[in-house]
Amino acid sequence: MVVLLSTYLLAGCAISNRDGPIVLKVAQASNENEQNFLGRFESERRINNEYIQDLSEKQPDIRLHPSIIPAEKLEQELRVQTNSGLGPDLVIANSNQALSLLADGLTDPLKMTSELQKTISAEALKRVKTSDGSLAGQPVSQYIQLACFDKRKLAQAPKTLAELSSDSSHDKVFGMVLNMDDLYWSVGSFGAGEALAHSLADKKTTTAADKRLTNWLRWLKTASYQQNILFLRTQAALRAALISGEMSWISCWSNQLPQLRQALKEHLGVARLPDGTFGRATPITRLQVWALGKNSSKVQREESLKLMEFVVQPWAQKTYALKFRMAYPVNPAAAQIVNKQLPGGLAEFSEAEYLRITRGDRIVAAIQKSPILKDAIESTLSEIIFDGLSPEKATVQIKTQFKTKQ
Amino acid sequence: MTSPLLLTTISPGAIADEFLVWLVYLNRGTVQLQLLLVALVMLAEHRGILRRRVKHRLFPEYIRVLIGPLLLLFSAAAFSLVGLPWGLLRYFGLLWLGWMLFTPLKTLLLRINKKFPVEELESTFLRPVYVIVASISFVRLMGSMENLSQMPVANLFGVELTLGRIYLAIILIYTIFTLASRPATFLAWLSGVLLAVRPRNRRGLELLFRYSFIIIGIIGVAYYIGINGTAFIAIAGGLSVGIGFGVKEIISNFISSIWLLFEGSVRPGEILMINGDPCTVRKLGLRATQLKRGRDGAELLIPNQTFFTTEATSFTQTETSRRESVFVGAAYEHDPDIIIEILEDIAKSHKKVLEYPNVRAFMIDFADSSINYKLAFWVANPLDSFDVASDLRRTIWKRFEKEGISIPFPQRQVYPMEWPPTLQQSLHSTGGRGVVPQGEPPEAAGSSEESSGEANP
Repeated sequence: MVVLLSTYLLAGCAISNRDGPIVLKVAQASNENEQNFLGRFESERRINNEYIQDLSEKQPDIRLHPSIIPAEKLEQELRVQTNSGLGPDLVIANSNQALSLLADGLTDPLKMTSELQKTISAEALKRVKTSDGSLAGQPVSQYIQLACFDKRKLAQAPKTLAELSSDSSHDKVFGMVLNMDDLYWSVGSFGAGEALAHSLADKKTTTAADKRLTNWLRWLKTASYQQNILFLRTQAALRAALISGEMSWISCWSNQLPQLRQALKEHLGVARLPDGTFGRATPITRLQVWALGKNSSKVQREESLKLMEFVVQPWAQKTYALKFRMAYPVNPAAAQIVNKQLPGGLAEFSEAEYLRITRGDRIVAAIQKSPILKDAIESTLSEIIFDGLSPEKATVQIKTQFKTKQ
Repeated sequence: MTSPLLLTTISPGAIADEFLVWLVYLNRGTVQLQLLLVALVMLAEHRGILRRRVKHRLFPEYIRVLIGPLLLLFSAAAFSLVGLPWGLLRYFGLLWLGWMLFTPLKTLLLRINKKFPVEELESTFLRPVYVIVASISFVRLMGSMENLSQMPVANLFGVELTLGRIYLAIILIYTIFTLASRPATFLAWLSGVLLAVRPRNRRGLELLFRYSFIIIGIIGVAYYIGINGTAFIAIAGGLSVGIGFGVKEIISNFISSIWLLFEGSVRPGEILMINGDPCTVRKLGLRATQLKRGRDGAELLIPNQTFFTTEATSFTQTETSRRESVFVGAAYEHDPDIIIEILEDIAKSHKKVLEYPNVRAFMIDFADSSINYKLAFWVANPLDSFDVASDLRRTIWKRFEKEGISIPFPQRQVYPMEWPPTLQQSLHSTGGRGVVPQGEPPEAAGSSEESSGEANP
């Protein structure tokens, strides 16, 4: 035993020797809402490998060792590892997860120089700031909700909900996921966000705001009555249906584009989600954040910070945004460069979008934080789509659920 | 790199890489501190330092072995209180405690029920579960669960097998092999109750059910890990070649075991004559049949195909009773009718001799010194025949003694010889027809045997 331990310790010293690259353990939360999907990390793993290989070439002092953790298990897994001193050096998660991990003491707050802060969009930084002003992590890129369609079945994606309804009556099958994250884009089209945000803040809502919420719920119900508009449980199911040709159009996330591109090749169309009569669609974004693990050694921490600084520089932001064409840069300078070269929908995303998505982000974060609230909201949406719940009753039900947070 | 019809290893290097990365953790002081403490406590326990300090009759040995792991768990609690990482201490403490708990657990179970199959429970269930839990929790602790479980390691007939799938398949197959006997026993019992299957046939039925569960389970596991019907056909093709060259005997024995079960000729409980000895079939295995020889209790392992290629005598195939015989000689002066009556009377009075078929005694030979008789009788259990025959021989001797019936036997008289023999001796030994040449000793030097006829005792 002693011999074994001595060997290990010697090996450990050898690893810390600066002659070779420093190994950094990276835990990445899978953002895909795809429970029980066997190959759900396949595409993420492939992209990770390419990304890491690229980074290793640019940063020869660092060797990244990533492991993907299902989003629903992230906190639990990190707690077990961190309590043992075996936590990762870097945690890649979305902004809400990063804030939650910091609050739980599973990551360290990040101290960024003002110079480095200038390289990142101010709105993106706001999303990782805690109430006491500390940063839960560093924003690196953002994934956007889009419309993905098969060009062989649909020449052009519908720009409005009315067009969507019209196309669905011409044998074009449309698919959406039945949860608030994925349906929130349509909330903006009816201006129903105000009622939800006020209820969440336990404020009184106006009759007009309530009516807009009811209109949104009514649209959901009406859409569910249509033969060619389908609501499925997971993004994986939607994606499979688009690839197999069962669907013509689905709501998708930009980080899923590589899989769809691989399957549909030049037939994949990407567009913005349709607007409504009240206003533009309000897709939420998933901000990818790099946070610092708690157990790193001094050298590992230094290298982690160095790497984090590197990945938000314009060159890295531009290169990776264009290489993988699945995320929007957080560096405004890089965003300007790549804007024209990104696929439809992604390219149309701009700094101004932040202002509209902040509300949605807060609402979705509140839902994700409380499993009881999440289940309750999904149950209500399910009742209105599949059962006989009226939009008026659903409005009251959802407002109550938001107010009581359950 | 991978051929659709070959088993090809894809990336064993990736697994090694994942394990080697664990060494990175040794850069961290808190990890080193925890491992050092674990090593010290284990060393102290190994040298008996911890146990020597707690020598008290209130703490028996099986309680004192828990001191080491408990010390680690207390250390983990102390580390937690001062805000240091403590998970490794807790992990090793719990792992050690779990291992050490086997002894008190076994003692407790035996105290509750002395006949409880503790050893079987430990080897087939507790220790395998322990190994699975320990390995999975360690990989999880290292943060490599997803990486290792999703790592492709082999390609079997076009199906990519990940490490996680292979590990799961091994666990499932082990579970199926271990637990298949339970539902099989239940189904055999149920068949016995519902279909009136005889108890000795139930054991054969039980084995058939067990093999069926195992085969269905293995096919299920194969489908679960992604091996489809086409792959099965390919495997069958590969196996047929393999059988032809290498594993012919194994497959032959396996098929024989299935056939024997269906045929019902060799079932557990059956009594077979192997090399003249009655043996009870204990277990019909996949490769060999296990038998217990009645004569000396030796366990015989006979390849199943032997029962296909060689003759076997069964005493239990359709009927369990066995006919046995005892031979005895009586002097010419006794009336054969009286002898036959006595012999039949002796056999009938034995408890284990069946009334039907009837006991029969026969006069079978006018021999040189006696009239020979055969006493034939039937016993219900073939394994009793040896004992019963022995009993009858003893009773015959006593009865003949009592009735004054003599059992003649040949007698020999031995005369000492001189060497070289005298002329008289030489003439006597050659019957007066010749002389043994000088210098050539006879075969039995120093002695000569001469039959002196038969005499009554």
